[in-house]
Parts: sequence; C-alpha cells; structure tokens
Amino acid sequence: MSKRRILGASDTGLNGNASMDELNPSSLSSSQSSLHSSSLAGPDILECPICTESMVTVNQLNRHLDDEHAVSSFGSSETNLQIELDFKQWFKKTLATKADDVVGKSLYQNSPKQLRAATQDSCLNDGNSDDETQKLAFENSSVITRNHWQKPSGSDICCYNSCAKRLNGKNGMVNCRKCGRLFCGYHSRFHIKLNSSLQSDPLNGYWSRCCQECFFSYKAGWDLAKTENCAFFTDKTSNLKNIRSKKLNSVKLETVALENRCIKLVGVLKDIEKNNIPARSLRSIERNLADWVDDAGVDNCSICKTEFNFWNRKHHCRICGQVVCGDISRGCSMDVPANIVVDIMNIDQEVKLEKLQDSRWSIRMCLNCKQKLFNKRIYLQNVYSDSQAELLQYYRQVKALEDKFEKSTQSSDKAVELRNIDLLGRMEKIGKLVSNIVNSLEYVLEQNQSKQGLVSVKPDEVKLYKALKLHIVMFLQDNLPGLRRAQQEKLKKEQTELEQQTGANSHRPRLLKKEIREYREKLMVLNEQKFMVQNLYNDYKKRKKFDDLISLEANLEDLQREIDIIEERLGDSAFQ
Amino acid sequence: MDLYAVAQHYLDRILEKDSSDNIRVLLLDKTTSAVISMVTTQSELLKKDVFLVDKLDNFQRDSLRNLSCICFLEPSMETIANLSREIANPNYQKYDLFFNNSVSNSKLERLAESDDLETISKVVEIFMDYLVVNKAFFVVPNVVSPYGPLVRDSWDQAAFDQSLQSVMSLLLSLKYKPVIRYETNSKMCAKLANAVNFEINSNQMLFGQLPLRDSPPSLLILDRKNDPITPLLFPWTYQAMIHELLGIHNNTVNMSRVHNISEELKEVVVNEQTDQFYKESMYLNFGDLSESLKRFIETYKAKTKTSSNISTITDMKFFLENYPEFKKTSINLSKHMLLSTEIDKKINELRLWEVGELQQSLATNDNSSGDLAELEDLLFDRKLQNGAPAAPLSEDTKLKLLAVYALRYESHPSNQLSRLTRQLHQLGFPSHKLDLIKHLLQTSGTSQRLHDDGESIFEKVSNSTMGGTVNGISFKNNTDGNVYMQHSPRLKQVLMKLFKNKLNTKNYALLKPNGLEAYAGNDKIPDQELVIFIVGGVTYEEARLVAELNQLNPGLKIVIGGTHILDSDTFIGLK
Repeated sequence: MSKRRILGASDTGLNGNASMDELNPSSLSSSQSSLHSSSLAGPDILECPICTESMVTVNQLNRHLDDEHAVSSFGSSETNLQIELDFKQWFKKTLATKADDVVGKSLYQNSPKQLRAATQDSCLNDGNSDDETQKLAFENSSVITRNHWQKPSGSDICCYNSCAKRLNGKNGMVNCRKCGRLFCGYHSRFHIKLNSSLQSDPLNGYWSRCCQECFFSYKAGWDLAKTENCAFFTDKTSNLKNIRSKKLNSVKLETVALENRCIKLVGVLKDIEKNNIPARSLRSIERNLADWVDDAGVDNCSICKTEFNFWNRKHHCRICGQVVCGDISRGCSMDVPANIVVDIMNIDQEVKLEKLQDSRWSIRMCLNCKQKLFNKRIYLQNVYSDSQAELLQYYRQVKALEDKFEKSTQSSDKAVELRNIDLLGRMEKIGKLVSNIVNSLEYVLEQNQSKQGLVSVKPDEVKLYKALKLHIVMFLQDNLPGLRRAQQEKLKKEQTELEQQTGANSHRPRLLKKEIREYREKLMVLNEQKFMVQNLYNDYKKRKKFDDLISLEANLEDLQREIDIIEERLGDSAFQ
Repeated sequence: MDLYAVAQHYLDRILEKDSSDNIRVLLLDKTTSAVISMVTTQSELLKKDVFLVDKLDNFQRDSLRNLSCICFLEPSMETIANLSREIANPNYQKYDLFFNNSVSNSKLERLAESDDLETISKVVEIFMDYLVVNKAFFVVPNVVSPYGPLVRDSWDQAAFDQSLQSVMSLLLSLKYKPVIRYETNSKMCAKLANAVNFEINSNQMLFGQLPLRDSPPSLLILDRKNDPITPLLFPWTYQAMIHELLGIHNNTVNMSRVHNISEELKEVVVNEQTDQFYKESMYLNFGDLSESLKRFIETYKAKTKTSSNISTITDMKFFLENYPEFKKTSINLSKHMLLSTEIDKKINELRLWEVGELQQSLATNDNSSGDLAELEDLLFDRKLQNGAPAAPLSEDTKLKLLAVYALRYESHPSNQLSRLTRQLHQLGFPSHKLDLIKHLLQTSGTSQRLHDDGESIFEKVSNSTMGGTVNGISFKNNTDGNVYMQHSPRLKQVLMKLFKNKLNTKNYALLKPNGLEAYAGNDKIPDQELVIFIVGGVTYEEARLVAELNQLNPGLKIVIGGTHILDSDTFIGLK
C-alpha cells in the first residue's frame, strides 16, 4: 500500500511504487480543466486531481488521497510511469509554486491569479486535452488492466468454440478485454463497456473490445431469452383493490343494515305463524322496521321515475322503505316469496333461518335491495354448485392422470412403462366418455334448435367438452409414440442385455481342463471335416457338378457355424 | 432480435397458472385477438388449460361460474365499458385482467365501481400493443391509412394515437429508453418523434426502472415519402411475393378464390414461428425457392417411401406412430406448393418477368432512351411474343410501370411523362388512375423528398461503393447479377450512414429524452440496438433487409415496423 501525497511525505508517494492505476491521463486532464473553470469561477478551492472533490486545505487533500485513492498497485509499470510523470507535472504546476508557504496554511490566503495562471499553463501544455479525453474514454488501457491477457505464443488459434482459425496478421489476433483470451478479428469485433474490475458497467465503463462469448453473457440487458431483459410489465392489482375497498366499505355497511332488517322481518313472519304476535300488527312492525318514506309527498317511482296514478300504485319496499311502483315488466319492486328469501339468505348465513310453513308469505322488495341482498349470494352459490359439475370432474381426473404420468416419466423406475401404459389406457377411456358426452350434447343442441328448448344445454359448455376432448387427444398423440418407442428400445435393450448375460455366463465359469480337451478334439475333428468337404467342393466345382455344389455349400456353412460356436466357447484357451 | 421471445414471455405471464386448478376462459377484443393470433396457436392455449376463447363483446356467452377467466384486452373506452358490464354481472368465477398497454387510473376506478362481487383478482399491464409479423418485424394494429383526410403530410388522429401507443409499448416491452432520430422534412415523423419523447419524459416512473445499457438504443422514424420506389417495384422474395400477389392479412392468406380448393387450405397460415420450411425460405428469391421446395418434396418422399411399402408389422407400427407428423408435413407441403403455384400463375398472368426486369432497369440504370422504348412497347402493347402480339398488360401493371418512370425521370430534361399520359388517355386508359401518378409526384416527388448528401433512391446494389462492411457491420451483397433484384431500398443507405454516425443532423434531428442528454454518437462504436419505424407503411422488402442484417451481425439488434404493411396497390392508391 503506497500513498499518493500532494505534499509532505512526498518521497513515498511519488518516488516509491506509485499506485496510480485509477489515476489516468484522461481523468487528469478533465480534472485540470475543471480545476481551471472552478478557479475562474470564484474562490480558489483546491480539488482532488482524481475525483475533483473540493478541499479546503492541502492537509485535507493529503488525507483524502490517502483514504480514498490508495489502492493496491497493479497494472503495467510502463503506463504507471507515464501517469506518475503526468502527475508530477500537474503537481508542480499547480502547487509547487506555493509549496514554500503552503504547508499547514490555509489556501484561502493564496492569490487566485497565480493559481489560474498555473492551470492555464498546464492546459496549454496539454494541447487538445478534450480530444484526448474522448479518445481515451473509448478504451483506457490503464483502467482496463491487461494483466490477464493471454500471451501470444506464435501459433495460437481463435478461442471461439467453432472457429479454430489460426491467428496471424490476416485473421487478426485480438485479446478480449474481458476474458483476456485470444481471438481472431471476426470473433472479437464486439464492444462492451467495462470498468476497472472488468465488470460490465454501462454508466461509468469504458468501451472495450471483447469476444462474442463475453458480449452475449455480460452485456447488460441484451439477451432477450431472459425475462428480466424484456417483457416489461406493471402490476396494478393493488391500485384497483384500494379503490375497490374504499368504495365497498361504505356499501357493505349499508348492506349489513339491510340484511338485518330482512332477517328481522322473516323472524316476525315466523312469530306470526307461531301466533306469538297478532297478524294485524304486521303492518306497523314493517313500518317501524324500515322507516317508511311518507308517500304523500312522492309523485314518482324512485327507481323508474314513472308518475303514480290509479293504475300505477305506490308500494313501499319493506327493506329500505322507499316508495316504488309495482310494475312487473320494469321490475322496480316485487313480492318475493318469503321462503325464497330464506333460501337465499341462508347461503352464507352462519345461523340458518328457519323456513316458514305457509309458502304464501311474501316480502315486497325494491330492485336495489334485491340486488344488494341477493346478487352476491347467488354468485357464491353458483360458483360452489357449478364447481361440482360433471365437466370439471372429468377435467380433474384428466389432470390427475397427467400429473401422475409426468411424475412417473421423470423417475426412471423399471415398472414405470407398464404403469404409464395403464395411465394412458385410463386416459383413453375418459376420452371416450367425453366424446360420448360431446355427441349427445350436440344432438340435444340440434334438437333444441328445431324444437325450442327441451333440456337446457349451454353452447359454451359443448365447446368446453370439445376442448377437453381435444386436450385428451393431443395428450395421447404426444405421448403414445414416444412411449411406444421407449418400450421398443427397452425391449431391445433387455434382449441385448440378456444375450450379453448368457454370453457372459458361459464364459464366467471357467472351463474345466477336461472340457477344454474335449472341445479341442471336437474342433480338430470339425476342422478336418471342413477340410475334406472343402476339397470335395473344389473337386465338384472343377467337374462342374453344380447340382451337388449347393448341398455341399450348405454343409460347409453348417460346419463353419459349429466351429465358430466352439471357438467362442473356448475363447482364449483355443490356442496353447 | 426476436420479438417472438418477448411475446412468449408475455404469454407465459398471461397463462401462468395459480394454485387453483381450473379450466380457463380467455376473453379478447378486436385488437388483442389479432395480437395473440400472431404469436400463438389454439393448441398451445389448450395445453395451458385455456378451453374456451371468446370475444368480450360477444354478449351471447353463457354463464359458467365455475370457470376462471383471463382477459387480455386493450384499455380503450369501449372495451372498458364492455368489461364493466361483464363484471357487474359476472359470467365466470374470477377475472385476471391483462391490458396490452397502460391503463389510466380513471379507467381502473370505473372497473372498481362495477366490481361489487370482488371478482377481479388481478390487474396487470403488459406491453404488447403491436402485431409481431416476423422475428424482427412488427406493425401497428388496425391502421388502414395513417394519413389525415385533408392534407397529405398530416396524421389521421386515430392512427396517430394507435401508432404512438404501439411504439411506446414496443419500447417498454424491449425495455428500451431510446434516443430518437427522425427525418426533418416530414411533419408526421416530427409529430410522432416529439410525442414519443414527451411520453418517455412524462413516464419517468416506468422508464426509470429500465436497465442501463452501454449505449442507449435508437428509435429511427422515417417517412415513406422519402422512398416511394421500394413499394412500387415487384419484390422477388417469397414472403413479399405472397403479400404482393395473394395478400397476407395477420399472417393468414385467403386462398378461397382458388378453384377446387380443399377445405383445410382455404385459409392458410404463414408464420415463421410455427412453420420451419417458411422460416427457411421466406427470404429466398423465386429461383432459390423452387430449389428449396424441390428438396422439401424429396425429403418428404423419402420419408413416406419407407412407410409406403408396409409389409411387416413394425413398418405398420412405425407408420401409425408417425402418422400425425406425416399428416402435418404433408399439409405444410401442400400449402407451400399451393402458394408457389399460385404465385407462378400470377407472375405469368401479369407478365411480371418482363415487367420486373424493366422496373429494375428503370429504377437503377440511367438509360433513358432504351428504357423508354421498352416502356412504350409494354404500355401500348406493341410487344411481339413468338411473332404474334402478346396478351395486353393489365391496367394496374402499366400504371405502376409508368409511376416508376415518372419518379425516375421527374427532373430529367427529356421527360416524356406528359406525352405518355396523353397517349394512354387517348387509348381509353381511365383518367382517375392516371391522376394517381400526379398525386404520387405531388406527395413524394423530388421536391418532397429528403436529399441527404450523396443519397439517391435509385440505388443499385452492386453500384453502392459502400457495400460489404460498414464500421464492423456487414451488409449482405446481392451481387450475383440477379437482374430482378438490382435495386436496394433507401433504408440501406440510411442505415449505413447511421452506423458510421454520419447522419446529417440537419436532415435527421436527434431528440434525447431526460437522462440521455450525455449521448453523443460514437463513431467507433455503431449503435447496437435500433428500432426503425416507417410512417406511411413498411414493405416486406425492408423487413428482409433488416432480417439479413440481424442474421449477419450477432452484435446488432434491429427491429423494423411501420404504420401498416404496403404492397404496390395500396401504396399507389389502387386499393
């Protein structure tokens, strides 16, 4: 660890193993220009040559340099030397003029003119410092280290997988700045921004040449196969839920009040049935319960705004007390049979209401109250009861089978194939059932069109059954051939294994000496026979007795086969 | 560059299964059904347990409250109205809402208003408000013509809104925060570019989250009027020919007009993603196409031959197992056979071999007298074929030839356009068609076009001295002497200049959204990510150029798109 001091203890900082890896000409010149401008702008503030942080005293700057910019040294000595020189120059020009009286003294007292002159001087000396910074920002050899570079050996080939080009003047020979390996010109024509620790850094990095592999694996936001690099989305569920809950809270309070009234009303009816309350007091109880609106001042229905007259009578909603008309076609209010109310209210009630014995009881409700009380309950009931539908049961069976199938294909068990065949068989059965249903439903649908609705069949449900059927067919198509193939392969494998095993078995128990002798004798006899037959064969051939040749040929083959078998059995011990 | 990959990510998100194992319904609207049909298939959806796909505005749907519903919709007023109607009286158990663009809070409020039953379980904005035509080719949905009714260089408001939405959603879907370049001679480009810039700046919340890039992507907005030649010339590559002669609409080709066509080929789908043969041959020229089709047939024959002589049980088994695959291949084969025979028929019918050759020669060679004679022969049907006068050319073909001539020799001293027009008129050529040429010259004549230094829209491929490699980026060189493909679109020159960072800022203004002020093109490192948008329509020919660039340069990602896809008829105004 060395120190990079501006003043004081300068021998360790500037003459020792300076570690100027972060200190490069570009940042130097930029700091110079910024120093320049700041000194022009106003009070002379000393700036760090590396990070241009402003300092008040030289002491502070020294401390800052020690703390912030003392990094262990690496990098080629050549460039470091250059930087060192630059640094020394800068140091001399900006501060050495004041070195005499600066130590421990505040810089506030220095004359700004002198400092300005010094910095201007240095700028002139630098020449086109701006151009230089631009060029150096492209690829900065002192920041992007070259230590990891692969040294050319004279007979290198391109490190890219499938390339293997010889690296020479024609094909190019370039080190990837990131991984350091050598590549041909074609496979190193990419550029990414790297920082001093050789990581991709779009913000502060320097453009550096790199190879194809590094380009695709390190370039920020490049690979679209990764979700994080594309397919931007925003989730607004919470926004909606906030808005909804605000609105629903007030509605819910209201609904609870209405519910309570409704339950009470049913209770009253029950009491009347049980003769606890006289029937004639019903009207007054209803009136009190719902706080009826005075109908004298109401001329129009509060929902449809139709004017009331002799035919269009006024009615009070027993739940909310509003005055509404009783027109059936508009549905502003209607007498709902009390037992239906009980049924619907019971859907999500913990304490179930009792049913009334007389089914003629009814409660007049306006449209609004009816919707508030019933809609949610009917929805819940539908969701529940429909979830028991036949279609879904088939679907669940299919899914369960698919799951099982997937699991068992993953595990490499021996019994798997048998089980899978069984699963596929079951799947096929369900498929047949479903296709039967499809047919029957389609038939019903056709009939309905001609006869106007006998049984209610939803066309969408038929579509769903069809889709399920297709789903099953697709699954079977996807898996059947693969499975069959796997089966065949397995069979083959087993056969070969069996053969190998039998072959191995005959080898393994070592042949007894006696057996060996016997086999050898047999072999000799066979060879002799073969020899004779061969002679015979040649003889016949000469004499052109082609009829006999065929049988002889077969004979020869048989002999050869037997010889082969015995030789195989004997193995190595056939020869002494 | 692969827009299909992006679309797949989005599809995965839409079709992601939650814990409840349930059959699902997918509700779409006009725009999103087009969007989704371009990137996936019914059977893919079926695999993800989507058993029913329907339109939101179909009010005949049955109530199936045991099923959950996925909605993929555009956040338009109409759709939101339909949707709140749907959830006020829900047909399904719960709703997962996916919008293909940003939803405003007021629209969310409206939905929340009607959601008394709390059926909405999810609201997600994804950004797919564009149609994926090819891997690197998108188009704005639902735009017939981007031009306003009164002045030509002005937007139709609806088309403008939709184009802006599409471009914004494309940028977000790719996670791009670009610098914007546009052609300064076009008001339409300027309007769109400034609107995009404004949207980016006012949506810092969204764009601020995007990952940083080494160099910001570029959005290049061009105007069709600067290159009126490319859409006029007959293209000789497969995909472009299908569109020019048969018409591709949302990746489907309607073949029902063909005599005696079988039911399954009445409407054929041409999609790079699902059709391997198409993917390989969509950019081939007619000659290479027939070669590749021949190979395809041969491999198919070889495959089927082994199974045609079924003698043993194993043969039979093999055939049965591979039957679905065979069937698929054979349908695919007959599809491409059908398409190419129809193309061939049309080419001969319209005599495009001669016409195409003349078109190319007009567009690229400076040979006014020779071309004029040839042109007159064709226009006045004087040409002889085997000693007998050839069948007369169709009016539309003549018109397009004349249009190419008119553009080419507009400022030439020996321009014969007025004489030719007069003669044609005397021969009974309908004057409303001849007026189209006048109109073309008014809107995209030489005075209207951008003249960047050394640029000409009559560029010949082999002539371009810059061909080959530009700043490390290789361009494909079609110097194989194909007389039918001599002309190269102007886009190529623009891109070459862009990669050298030599675009004149006077002609190509540069807008830098907030946070990208520091960008100053680097002439050593060409732009690596680029979105091109052509106002006034894009051609398949240009899409091919971009596809080739992407293929040749792995370090380059270009997407091209436009307000709509042109063929010569729509461009000149015949359709």
